Amino acid sequence: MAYRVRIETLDREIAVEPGATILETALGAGLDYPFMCQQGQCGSCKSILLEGEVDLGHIYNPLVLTAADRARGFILACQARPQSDCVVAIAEVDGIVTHPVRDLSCIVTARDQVAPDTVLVRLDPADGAALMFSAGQYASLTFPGQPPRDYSMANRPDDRVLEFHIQRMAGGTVSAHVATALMTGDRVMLRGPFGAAYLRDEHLGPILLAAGGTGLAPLQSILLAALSLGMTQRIQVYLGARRAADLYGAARLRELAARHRNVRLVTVLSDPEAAGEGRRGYVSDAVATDFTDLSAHHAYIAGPPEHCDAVRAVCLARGLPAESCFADPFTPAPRF
Amino acid sequence: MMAGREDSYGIFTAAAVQDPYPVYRLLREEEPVHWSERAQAWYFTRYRDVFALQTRPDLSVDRVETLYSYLPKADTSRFSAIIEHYTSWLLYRDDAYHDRLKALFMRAMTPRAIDLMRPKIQRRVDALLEGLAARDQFDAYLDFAARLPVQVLLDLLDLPMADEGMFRHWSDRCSNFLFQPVNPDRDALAEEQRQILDAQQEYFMPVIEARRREPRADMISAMVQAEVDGERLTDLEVLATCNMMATAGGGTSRSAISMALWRLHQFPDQLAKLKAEPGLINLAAEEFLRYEAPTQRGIRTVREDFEIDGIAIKAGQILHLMIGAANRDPEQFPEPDRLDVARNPNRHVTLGHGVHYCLGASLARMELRIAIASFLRRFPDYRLVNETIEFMDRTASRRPTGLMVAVR
Repeated sequence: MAYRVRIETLDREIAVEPGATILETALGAGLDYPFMCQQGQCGSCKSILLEGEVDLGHIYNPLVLTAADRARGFILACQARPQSDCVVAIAEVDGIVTHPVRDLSCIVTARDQVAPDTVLVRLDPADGAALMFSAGQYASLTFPGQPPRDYSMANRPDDRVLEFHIQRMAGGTVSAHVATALMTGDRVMLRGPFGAAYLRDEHLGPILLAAGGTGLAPLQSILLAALSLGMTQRIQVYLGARRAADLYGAARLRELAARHRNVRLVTVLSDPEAAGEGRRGYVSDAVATDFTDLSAHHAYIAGPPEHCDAVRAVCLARGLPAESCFADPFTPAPRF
Repeated sequence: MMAGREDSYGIFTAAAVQDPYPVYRLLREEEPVHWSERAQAWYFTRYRDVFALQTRPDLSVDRVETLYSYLPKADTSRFSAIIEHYTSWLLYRDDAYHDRLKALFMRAMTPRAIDLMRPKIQRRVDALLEGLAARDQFDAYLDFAARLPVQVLLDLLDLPMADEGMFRHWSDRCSNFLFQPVNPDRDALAEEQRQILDAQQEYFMPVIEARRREPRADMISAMVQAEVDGERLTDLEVLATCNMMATAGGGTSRSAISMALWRLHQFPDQLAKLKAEPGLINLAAEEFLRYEAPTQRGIRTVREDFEIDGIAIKAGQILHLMIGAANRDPEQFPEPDRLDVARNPNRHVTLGHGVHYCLGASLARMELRIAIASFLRRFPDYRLVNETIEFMDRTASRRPTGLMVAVR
């Protein structure tokens, strides 16, 4: 009796005979499933098991399908033999990372005031399913009784508990709710992940991370992920805020910079009267001063729209190719 | 004379260099685990043994002793730089150095990284084919297959295309040294190696220095910045790795591309099928790699005694994993001598497994897929000027001396 395996990415269903792999059956059916080695060594056919059970096989490279990958539901289609009907999605097609969008019910496990107008919120997906995302992506959060809003994950993709940085916006009802009414134990609905400004871990050149305000969240995720992957190229982090008290993430970044000699942190305060360490002005000014040639860089930019636009313009003027500049548009308005 | 056990079933003959498959078959059928007196090594020719040994973690790839044996006996100290250079190749290492560099390569060669290289490789292929379009006939080995991998490497290292000829010369001569002709002139080969390594030193040191100062998005920059447990690669290690990529990577890819064009032509039904269904190229590339493996042997040294098929294998002994033989084992591959561009599954052993799985495998596959698919689109009616091609005089690798094709 063959098992039915639905391949979401290709919108096709195949019948896999007992003992056969998903990949060989898909290729036999003429499907354009990505593959190379067929022997668990290269990771081209890495997929996500959304429903059902498979035998993962035993001949695969543990660096390609790590223990963390297995725990999060990744499989190698060339090794996986279905043990039931299944639904799978292909992890990467033509170099584009795709994660299935999920709706997760989460519990607030922590809520800390980290700056005068910024709250750090930790969410634990309650029903056992972890969120699969790439560092730098965001999700849509629905707090009790509130409309949904987009916030970026600030944690590493392999952490189970998710971290968000939520700044109180003038006239913003959702951020006001988080600032004043949200409690640990509250239930938050999460839909995601979204966004294309995720870490390109194949890049070998230097990296520039330019954050304004809570734009730190996705860039912190990118930095943590890059370091955990053993990326050793130069990573320069620019963190901008109005006053020193708003630089809520600087201590953690300083600690990372002290431990990793490829990481350098520059803080920039925009209020000329502000006290404390760091340069004055805007991140875009600091980047313009510090770099002459960004042609071999990747730049990730996050924060308020005017920050993103200014940094991007400076980067492009310093030779950064447009395709090496990653920034998701900030959407303060509700998404429909 | 009937070839037999004493002469390893004829594996050392000139005929076997040109066509080793009849000998492989004899070995596999008569004595699948065979001790060669002349090579002082065990030969394994069955798929299941080669596969098991490739995945066995306790075998060593260290080649220092072999390298010493390639040098003139009288004057080894004069050539110590050669030993130092080749022992910095990660494919001859089992230790932490190997793991450190391997992590870097794996990141540079992820499926996504390779996918992103596709447009660049396609442009190189298109330009090469465009340059050949005006000719009635050309050497598809020298003028196409051998050029592409060098150009892709120069892109990967961010070095000027003007250096293509020099890199090709270096990789030719270094692979000639490593694979050693059947009756080598050791003095001449070692002297030549010394000169090449001097020239490479002169070429690479300023580049390495510049990339360290101002890193770019290439493999040399990645290597000078690579660090594990606080340790960095030395300049000599970076240089050695560049040469390894050129020699081990470039040399095998050119063989794979040219042998695919040659073999495909011998199976007209398969050539027609691939032309009719270009989407088969991904499966077809695997079949080309199975049918003619550029590297015919994986060489390992035993660290601890073990048994296989009741035969005792002793620590210190050398094992030759006969990849080309395993890939034609009928127990694993139905009709193994038939080229089948849609063969599926196709778990050949050409690129290894486990710890020493070929780090350039994904790049090699991408080059092969693009090169063959583009060649067939551009020259669908290509013909071989000679039905047989001549192979270089070595047994551990398979490299044509040329492949003349007529395209009109």
